[in-house]
Amino acid sequence: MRLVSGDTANPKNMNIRSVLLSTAALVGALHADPLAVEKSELKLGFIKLTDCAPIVIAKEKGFFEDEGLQVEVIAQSNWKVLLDNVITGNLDGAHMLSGQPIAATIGIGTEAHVVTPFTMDLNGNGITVSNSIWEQMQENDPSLDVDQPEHPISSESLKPIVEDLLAQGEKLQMGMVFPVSTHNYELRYWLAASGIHPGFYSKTDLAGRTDAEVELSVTPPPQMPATLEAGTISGYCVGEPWNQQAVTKGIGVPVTTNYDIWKNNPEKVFGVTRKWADENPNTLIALTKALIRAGKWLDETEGDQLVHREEACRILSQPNYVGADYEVIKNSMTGTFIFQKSDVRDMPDFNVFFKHDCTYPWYSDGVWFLTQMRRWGQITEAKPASWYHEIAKKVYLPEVYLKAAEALVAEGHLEDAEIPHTEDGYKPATTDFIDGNSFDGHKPIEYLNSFQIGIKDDSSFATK
Amino acid sequence: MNTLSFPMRRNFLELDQVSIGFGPTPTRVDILKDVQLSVAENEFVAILGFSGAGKSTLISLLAGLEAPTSGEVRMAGKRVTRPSPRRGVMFQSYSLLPWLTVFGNIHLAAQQVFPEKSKAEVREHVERYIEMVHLTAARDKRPHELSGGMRQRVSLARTLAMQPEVLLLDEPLSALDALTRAVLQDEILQIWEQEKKTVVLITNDVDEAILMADRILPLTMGPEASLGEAFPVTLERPRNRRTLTDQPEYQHLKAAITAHLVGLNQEARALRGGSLVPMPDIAPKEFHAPSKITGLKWKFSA
Amino acid sequence: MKYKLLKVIDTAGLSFLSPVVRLVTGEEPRKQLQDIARFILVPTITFLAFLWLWSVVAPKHKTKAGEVPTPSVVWDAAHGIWRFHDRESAKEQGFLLIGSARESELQRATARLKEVEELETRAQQQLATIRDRSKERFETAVAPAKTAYDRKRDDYRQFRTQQAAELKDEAALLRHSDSATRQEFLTKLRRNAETEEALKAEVDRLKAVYSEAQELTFPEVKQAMRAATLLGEEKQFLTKYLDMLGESSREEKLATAEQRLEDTRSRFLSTTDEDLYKLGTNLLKQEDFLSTTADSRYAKPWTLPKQIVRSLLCVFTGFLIASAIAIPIGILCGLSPTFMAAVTPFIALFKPVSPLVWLPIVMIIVGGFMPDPENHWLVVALSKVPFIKNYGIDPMFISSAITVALCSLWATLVNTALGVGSIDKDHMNVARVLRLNFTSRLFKIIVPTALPLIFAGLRISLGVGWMVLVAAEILSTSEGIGKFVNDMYTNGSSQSFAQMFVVVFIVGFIGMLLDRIMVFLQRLVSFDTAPAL
Repeated sequence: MRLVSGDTANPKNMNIRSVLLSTAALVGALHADPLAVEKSELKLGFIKLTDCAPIVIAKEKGFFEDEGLQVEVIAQSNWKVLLDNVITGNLDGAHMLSGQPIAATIGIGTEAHVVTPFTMDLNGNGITVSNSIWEQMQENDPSLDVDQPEHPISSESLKPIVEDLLAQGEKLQMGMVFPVSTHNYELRYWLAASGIHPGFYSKTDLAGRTDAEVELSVTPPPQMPATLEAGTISGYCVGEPWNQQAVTKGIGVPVTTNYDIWKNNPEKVFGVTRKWADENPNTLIALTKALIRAGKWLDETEGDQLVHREEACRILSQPNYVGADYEVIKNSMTGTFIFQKSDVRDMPDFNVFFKHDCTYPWYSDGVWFLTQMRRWGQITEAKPASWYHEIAKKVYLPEVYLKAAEALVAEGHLEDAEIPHTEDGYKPATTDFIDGNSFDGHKPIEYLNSFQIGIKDDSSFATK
Repeated sequence: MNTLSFPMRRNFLELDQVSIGFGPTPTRVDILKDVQLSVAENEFVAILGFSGAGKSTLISLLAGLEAPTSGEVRMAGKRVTRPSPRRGVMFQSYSLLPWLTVFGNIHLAAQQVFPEKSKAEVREHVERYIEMVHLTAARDKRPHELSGGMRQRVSLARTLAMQPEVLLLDEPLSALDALTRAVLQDEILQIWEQEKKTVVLITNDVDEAILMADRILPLTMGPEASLGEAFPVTLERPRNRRTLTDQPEYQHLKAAITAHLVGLNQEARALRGGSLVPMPDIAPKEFHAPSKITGLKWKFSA
Repeated sequence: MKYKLLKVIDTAGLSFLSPVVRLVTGEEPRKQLQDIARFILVPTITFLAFLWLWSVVAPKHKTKAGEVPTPSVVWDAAHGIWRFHDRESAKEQGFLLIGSARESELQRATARLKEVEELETRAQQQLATIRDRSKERFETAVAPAKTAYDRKRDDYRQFRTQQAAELKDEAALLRHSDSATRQEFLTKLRRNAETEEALKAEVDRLKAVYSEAQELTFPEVKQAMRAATLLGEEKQFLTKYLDMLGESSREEKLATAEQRLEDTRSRFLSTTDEDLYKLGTNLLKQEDFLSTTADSRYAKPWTLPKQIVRSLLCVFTGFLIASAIAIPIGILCGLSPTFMAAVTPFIALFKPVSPLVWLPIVMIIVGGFMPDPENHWLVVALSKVPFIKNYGIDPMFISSAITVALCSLWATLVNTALGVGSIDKDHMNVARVLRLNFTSRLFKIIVPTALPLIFAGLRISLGVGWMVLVAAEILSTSEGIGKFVNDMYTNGSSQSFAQMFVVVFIVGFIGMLLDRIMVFLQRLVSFDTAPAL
């Protein structure tokens, strides 16, 4: 097959060509054979948030191409549209909220079996309140009224405001991005940790406002700052760059990040439908390989310096990706976070893409989301512990991840030590929460029953 | 179509006790009542009447565009039930299709009437008629680019191009200025002399009728109009409009017809019980005309 | 010649040019100059006045979403949009370059990258110094307000705690007092609350002053930041471009793949100790890989010019669907009053429905027909049509087009019915005399008569369709101008606001162009005096 026809005859070109061939031989020895992918032209969806970075980087740095994949990356307007597009087949896969594959699989909202072989990042969200709420919080707790208040800031100082409003027959309104999003659970966790009730979902109450002291509503991330400024909501929980936007534009004050609520919590996953995964097993492995490489690239350090983050910010700030200003994206991505104009802090783990065994699809993550769904009534019936494990295993695909990771090790892109070696796919129990509660993925019912606020199930379910 | 091979038919085109009216039965008004007409082959008949007397309705009946309420319209002994290119109509308002050129308008008719002709033949046919009405220069113009006279020529050419056996001319020249009208009258006559067709001309112009027709039939005042006594015109052909007026027969004929028409007019007024005092042609702001005369215009051009 | 030109100008709806032509040919210069003043000068002056007013007023209005962009900022944003397109096209072409052309481009880009890297480092340094300097200036500027606020706030807090303590103590003593003393104490409490409130108001005022002082921005920082960003963007582009020219170029990829294929083949043919089955399948896989690489292209992201073309494609698709439905139904309505009566309620009911309501319904229905969009026959068929295949026809595109059709067909329908209904009776008589059959009557008499009105309707429809399309694209996220607007809005970058303005002008300009085209067509089919504008 003569593909570079004609030019070889030209002696001027002989030189470059022979050089090419010799380097190619070298590279060829390093590269393993590409997988026989079932489908080579793919469309992946994302939402304009910095944590879509692994997908964007895998594309821009050519990791997809190395797997023989031609990938088009398409921005979606909101999570619902994104999920629908994945389910209807307009997209092959997408950047998803961790709760989305689980919720779709168990039929909260749109029902479809969605699976994930890859966790895209840890942390990365913040809770922002409006300037006036912040002032009132400072009044309630003068220790907050300094240039750099001590962290973590709990919702303790918000409580009197909520109570005052309740006495006037009103409820504080706050925004989150999607009913099954991490943001919803984090905001609820933060509120409930100080005894503020964020309301239950039920079969009839799909807005989740039963017994609520603070009412939560869904607002698309890009509209958060504008909605906050308009006064429709008094605070919100969202990913970047929308907290930094609020503070740079002087609309609100980020009071806490989800790192403070739960250290190194899983945030986004890469999701495809079960059907798609079954039809394209090799393509899925190839995609996972490229995404793992992208995650590793993003978290590569020299000393404590993240070396690729600035380039990543440049790429993300392109209008077809996140598109926000480079300077804004850079803040959180390079490990600084502006809480107030007077309060700029280093947050090296604000966005984690690879460290802390981030990319591995842990069953325990799935269990945590399931417990939160049950805690707030999105799962309307009591379920036995075995069900939690079963669902987590239906949605999370560590076997695909491991195949991809091992292939990368064989190709020299990954070291074996970088793959988490786990016995059962559960992370060890942790107490890294704002309220100090302990979470063990093996014991969902006990965990559920350990909360002050929230639905509790009969302890007999723990052994079923 | 060779008319010479047949003997002349006396009752070529007939109206037999024809009445036509409009409106629902109880309040129905007959526009024409018991009209009797018989036109011989190759005869040129002029029907003379006031505006609104029902002349156009008469043409519509002859053409088959409208069906009589009672009585029968016959052509060559056969009952007329619908329009046909055998009876070519030339409308007062030209009725040219504004999106077609002169050629296109005539071509549409020719093509439709002679489907058996080849494309080239039809084209040649059309060109011939354009030339006949002296419009070769304006061949590719659209109607709105033409003067009234030229438009009527197109209309004439279109009608002739259908090679009808009967030409029904519905006040074709009444909208034109006197000069153009004279020229066209001559042209029509000239063509008629050549082609020798049966012609029914509707007009409100006595001079025109005398100049052109073999026989003049005044239409009585509507409603319930009918054809009155015929005035045969025996003036020799070809008639010259300049010398015609000097002939005593012409003067006599014109006087007789005019007197007849004026009489009809007065009779009609008397019938309506109206005053004989001439009224200025001004309508009061809120004038509710008696239903019988609604829509009538008082116009008589001699 | 002159009259022909004038006629063309008139038909094209560019009648404002005719005085120029007349002036050039020396016809009534005085009158022509007057006309030029009226039809060319006056609009130009108004437009310039508008630009001036805009550039004066815009900076005065500040929103938290960003400053209202001035014309020059908008112009800059337009450049930015174009630059993005230009660079992506360069990458696309770079990927395909071969031989010496690639080599020289590689050298050029490498040299430029070196240059840009130096410039960027310098710009970053400059930005840092300017930042430091402005930070000092910022702090000095803010300091008095901050001190004032801090002091007052501390006073207020102290007052509050102190008073509260005092009053509490006093209240403790009042346990056995009479009602008068208690009344007095209440008055005192009230007075105290008032003082506290006044103090609080003062604190709030100072806080407002402090926040306002914090709003202080330094244009030179912004400028330096902009300069650094531009260079940073170019650097990023060049890095990627070099990659597309070098290691990731099709030529090199092919060379690698070919080399490996050759290796495997020779091994397959000569080996004695390897698994032939495994080698053989490998060989086949590598052949496949080679052929896909040979066809591969740079997956270029959607850029505005391409999005505009897709929007136009979508609006015309919708417009064609609308015309194909509206004209026949309109003709039937015009011909048959019964049919008209049957259709009227639907027209009245559906005409006012917003595209934002139609779209979700249409999307659900279209989605139902296309459970597997990529393999649906329509998508497959359209992906083979040249030109159209480049624009990725998908269910979203079809839904948007249908929505456009649903919203725009009414004007054409009503106008067609009107045109057909108002046909001249004399023309019908001609048709009857000629004994035209139904089809001839339809195509030779009825449709030509109605054509000017049909075109008037089509013109309205296209205008409506163009407006509807942008909304539909925003909602359906179908690639196009609407998607661009949505993306820019969600980007929320400092350029977003200006980019929206760019889109306003582009959408307006294209809408105007479409309208002019329709006017031109309308005039071509109008047989009488042309109804225009």
